[in-house]
This record gives sequence, C-alpha cells and structure tokens, in this order.
Amino acid sequence: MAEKKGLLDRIMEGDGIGRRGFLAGAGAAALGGLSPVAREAHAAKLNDDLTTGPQSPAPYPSWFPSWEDIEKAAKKEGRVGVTAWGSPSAQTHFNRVCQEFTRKTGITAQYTHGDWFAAQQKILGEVKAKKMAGDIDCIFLWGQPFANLLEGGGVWEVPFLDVLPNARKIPYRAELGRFVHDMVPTYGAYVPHVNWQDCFVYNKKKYKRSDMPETVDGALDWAKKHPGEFTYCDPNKGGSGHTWIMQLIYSLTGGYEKYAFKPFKIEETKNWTVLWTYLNDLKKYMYKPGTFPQGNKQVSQLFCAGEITFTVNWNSIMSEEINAGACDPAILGMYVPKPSICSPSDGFTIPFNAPYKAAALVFLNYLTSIEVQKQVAETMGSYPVVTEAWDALSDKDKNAPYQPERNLRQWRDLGTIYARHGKYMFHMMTEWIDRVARKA
Amino acid sequence: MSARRERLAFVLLVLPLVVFLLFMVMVPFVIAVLSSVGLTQVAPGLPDGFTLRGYRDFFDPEKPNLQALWFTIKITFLSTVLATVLGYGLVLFVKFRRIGLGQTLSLLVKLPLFTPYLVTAFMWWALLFPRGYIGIFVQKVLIEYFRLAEEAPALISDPYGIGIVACSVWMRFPVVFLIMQSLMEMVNPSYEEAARNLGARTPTIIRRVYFPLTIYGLLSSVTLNFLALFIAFSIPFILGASWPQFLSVFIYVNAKDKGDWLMGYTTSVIYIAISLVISYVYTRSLARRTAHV
Repeated sequence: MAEKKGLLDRIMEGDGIGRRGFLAGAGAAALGGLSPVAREAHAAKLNDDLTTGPQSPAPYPSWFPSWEDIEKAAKKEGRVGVTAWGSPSAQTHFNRVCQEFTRKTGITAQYTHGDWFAAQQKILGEVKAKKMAGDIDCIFLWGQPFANLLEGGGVWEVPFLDVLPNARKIPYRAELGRFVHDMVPTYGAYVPHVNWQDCFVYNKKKYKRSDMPETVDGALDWAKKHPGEFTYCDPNKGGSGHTWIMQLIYSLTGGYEKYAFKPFKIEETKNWTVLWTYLNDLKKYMYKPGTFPQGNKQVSQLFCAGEITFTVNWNSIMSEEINAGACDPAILGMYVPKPSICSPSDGFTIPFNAPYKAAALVFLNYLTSIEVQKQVAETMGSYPVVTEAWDALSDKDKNAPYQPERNLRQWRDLGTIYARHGKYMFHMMTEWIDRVARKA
Repeated sequence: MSARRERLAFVLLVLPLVVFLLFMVMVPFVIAVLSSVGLTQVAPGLPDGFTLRGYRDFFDPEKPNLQALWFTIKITFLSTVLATVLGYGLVLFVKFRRIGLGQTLSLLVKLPLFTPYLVTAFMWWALLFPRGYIGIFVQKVLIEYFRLAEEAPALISDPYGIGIVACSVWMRFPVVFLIMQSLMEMVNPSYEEAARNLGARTPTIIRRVYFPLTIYGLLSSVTLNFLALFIAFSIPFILGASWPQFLSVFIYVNAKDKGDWLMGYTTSVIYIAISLVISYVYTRSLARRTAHV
C-alpha cells in the first residue's frame, strides 16, 4: 500500500500513466491531475490473432494507483460524462443508474443518450485533431465501433478491467466480453455491462415447443411448412437479424471453429454461397416476401400483433413489449436453438482524452456492482454480465417469459455460448443487400 | 455621402450575408466535392490522393447506385404528382363549391406543414402497419370484401415505396394548396363570369381560365415539392424497404454502416448537382416568363 501510495504521489507530482505516444505527452489528460508515465502498452496495436499471439491477463497493475487513491481522485474530479444509446428501456436504465451514482457518491454523472456512431466519430475526430481534453468519460459500445476506436487510437488503453474491484465477478469466459468483444480483443480496456441474448421467438398459443425447429438453421424447413409466418429483421437495421445470420454462418459454412478468435480472411467467405442460397430460399416463404422489418422493434410489433408466429429477437426487446402491455405474455415462447445463437456483451470503454478518468473508473465499478447488474435484468430484460446479480433477482424476474434460460449459472458454466465475429458479421451485412435484398 | 462611402456601406451591409453563404453553404459544398475525389481527409477511410473511383463506381450499372437514384426519382416524381393533384383538386373543390374555410379547417389543412418529418413518418408507420387503421381497411375492405387481391400488399418497408408515397403526399399537398389558393384568389372573378355568360362549364373554365393564369404558381409548388421530397431522409428511412433505397438513405448506409465515405460523398455531390440543375431549369423558365410578360 505504502509503495502504491508512493507511486501515486510520484504520479501526482508529474509522472503518470501513459499509453501510446500521444498519451505519454498528454500532461494532465489521464486521471485528471494524476497523469502520465511513459510505459508502453501491452497492446500497442490491434492483435486479432487470439490463440497464438501474446496475451497478458494481468492482475491489478502494480504501476497503477491503488483503488483507494482512485476513489479519492474521483471525488476530487467530481463529475463524469457518460454516453450511451439504445431502446427506451436502455435509456431509462442509464438515466436511473447515473442519478443513483450521483446521489451515492456525490460525483455528478451527466448522461447523454445519443447514438454510438456520432460519439465514435466525435472521438475519432478528436484523435485526428489531437484534442487531449474531450468531454466523454465513458462510452457504451458494441463490437464494431469498439474496434474502430481501438484501431483509430481513441481508446484509453489501460487495462482498467483489472483495476475495478467489481469486475472480477465478470465470468472468465471468452464469449462473455472479458477478453474479447465480437472477437475484437479488448486488452482490458473494455468493461462489459449487458449480455443480450438473441432467441427464437414463437407463438406458444399456436404452436408447441416441439413444433418449432430445434436447430438454428431449421428456420427454413419450418417456414416452408408455414409460409408467411416467419420473418427476421434487416440485418443492417437491427442486431437480432445480423446476430442470427452470424450464427447461420457458423452452422452452414464450416462451424464455429473455422471463425472463432481467428483473423478475418476474405478467402474464408468463398463458400458463403450456401448461406445466400439459404436466405434467398427462405425469403420466398417469409411474411410478405421481399420485405424485411426495419428493426428489432418492428419485428416484435409484428409478432405481438399476431402477424407472424415465429421470428428471431432479443430478450430485451420482447421484455419491452411485455412490460408495456403490448404483448400478451401467454403467447410468448422463447428459446435458444441448437447449437446456440450468439449472445454479445456490450459495454463501456474510456476514451483516450476523457477529462475525468478517475471518476470514470469509479462509475464503471458501480456499473458492475450487483445492485446495478440486477437492474440490467429488471429494467432492460437482458442478462447481467455479473452472474451473481442473477441469483439476487426475484423469481418473477428470473421466470419472466422473455428469458430463455432461467438458470444462468448453469447456462454460463455448461451452456453453448457463442460470440459473434465482428469482422465477418460486418462483411455479411454489407453483402446482404446485394445478395439477398436486391435479388428478385 | 460620397460614392466611396456608399460603396463601403453597401459592402458592410451585405458582408454578413456573404460570410454566412461562404461558411455555411460554400465551404461544406467544396469539402464534399473535394472529398468525393479523394482530396481531403475529413473522414476516415477516404483515399490518399486524387481518384475518380467514386464516380466510376456510382455510374457502374452493375452496382446498386443507379438503381437507388432511379428509385428516388421515380418515387419523388410520383409523390409530387399526387400531392399536386390532391392540393390543386382541393383548391378547385373549395373554390367552385364556394366553401369558406374556417379557422379549424384551415388549420387542419396546414397541419402537415407544422409536423416534423420524423413524427409524420412514425405516424404513417402506425397507420400503415398491418394492424393500423389503413392496414386494417386494406385487409378487410379491399382484400376480404372486394377481393381485389389474394393477399394485402405490404404498405411499409415495401419495395414499391407505397408507404413513402403516402406519407410524402400528406406532407406536401398543403404547399400546393396554399400557393394555389392564394393565386386563385388573385384571379379577377369577372373572367369566370364572362366565361359562364358565354356558356362555358366548370371544366372548361378551369382549363381555359384558371389553369393558364395559375400555371407558374403550379410550377413553383411542383418544384418546391419535388426538391423537398427528393432530399427527404426521415420518411424513406422509416417507411422504406431494405431495397431499393432512397438516395439519402443510401448515403447514410454507405457512410455509417459500411464506412464507405468516398461513396457517401460522391453520392452527395451527385445529389446536390441534380437538385441544382432542377432549380436552375425552374429559375430560367420563370425568368423567361417574366421577360415575356
């Protein structure tokens, strides 16, 4: 402790924490007045060769200030700027979390509900302009923008996940965001917050579970038998569509092993004709052939209105419909087909030029507490990233009709959980318009 | 006041306008043009040097760009025609039926003008959704009662742009109505009386009296509506299909989803160029008319 304090003192006197060249020269940018030391990053460049490349799952970094000192510095900073995006329930969740954080810590959390693209572009623009004092301290991201920020030098590349006391409870499982997000390595500079689960959704008043396809690629056969009753959303407009198609890629074009944790290679997509054939066949038997709902919400509305009886959607989106009284809980059946459907864990990072980094760390630690993680399930209808929070939920929340797996501990220990490969998924999304939507 | 002072006063007077136009109109336009040929680095992923790749790709018939442009022109044209017919028809109806538009009716007609595009798009989405009023009407009346088709067509997210057209027409018909109503009021009623004395019926009066006297107002409203709908984003974004896409949505998808900023900027420049050509043709035709009068 004494040694750590000594280090903090030295930091406060002018040494500090540094990542990459620009941060080393950033003066007071990192941790408010606690900055920067000229230490090289463990991950100075984006490395997507996860199985053979050097990895360093570090414990609490010895060169980093102690948690107590960070908390003191955070109080001194007194504020933190948080940017996130998402559905109305996500907005409610983040608003509430920021208000409670302010009340409990006295550190003002200013929340901006915006869109990830604008926030990402803003930070990348600031990298270009070498603007060392930005105004975002915590930014909520999915895989692709995190990769863009990491590659563009917009992330504060400090393994802060190893610093947050509460983050130790995040599962040590590759697919759940601790090490990679959408197979983009995070180097500890990313704190997963919410674990979305994409599911098969069916009308259980009309069909029994045994009538529904067992496997992720069984949708085509089912749709042939029940024309006009299935749809999925445009993969460019909603995550439930592209996440399901990513899983189809695994199932139809060579298995998860072919893609998992490996660098993107265009040659690996050569046999995707089987995927395009599948999707074009499916198109003929879908609801209003030639049309694709423009988002997760549209899919859930079609389902709740009884227009379709089978689709793919997130647990969180279906929970919104149930909680808003727009969907009869008695019709909602949800399950994860075999072998699985990817369940991404979106979360937060700290931009390279965040002005209140200590407060950001304390805020992210709060986000990972059992209390807030419980709210992830209660307010957003998703899985918490901290499994312990699930245990603390009421039976009503655990057994909600939009939750496909009710024993999360068992599911996370023994279930088949897949991660999306961000780059292959992005490639699929750009190809889908030409290969599927534009095809007559 | 000396001529020099007068000139100085004039310069000072117009300077704010010039500065505004320069920085708010010209600079973004020049940046867009330069970016479309790779001569700026304002966005990530733009090429390092001069290139015409964006334009070559845009006009490549194998690629989807021209299809998006054609779809945009087609839908805009159809919406403009329908908005014009509806607006002009309503003016004629009010005029010849001698209906006095009270405050409430007048406000109702103008309501779309004060409604944001995004709100209107969502409103129409709710109406055209299979369980919305129009969706139910189409299903119950047109399909089940009159049996006009085996299945109700998709009214939203549809490849024919039905939703876009319906919403656009609702948004823009008041422009035609307001312009044409004020012009009609300005036509000397003695022309109509004279025509009636000579035995002309209403259709003839419309064709031979009102139409020629209001044609330039009609052209103005058509141009205004065409340009406004041509560059619309919210309506096609909310109500449009995965494909074909409106050009504005296409730019968004290229830039945001695909990160292809070169194509985004190229499409924007072509978009602006087409709008400018339409505006120029319209202005020229008006100028010629003024010269003849």
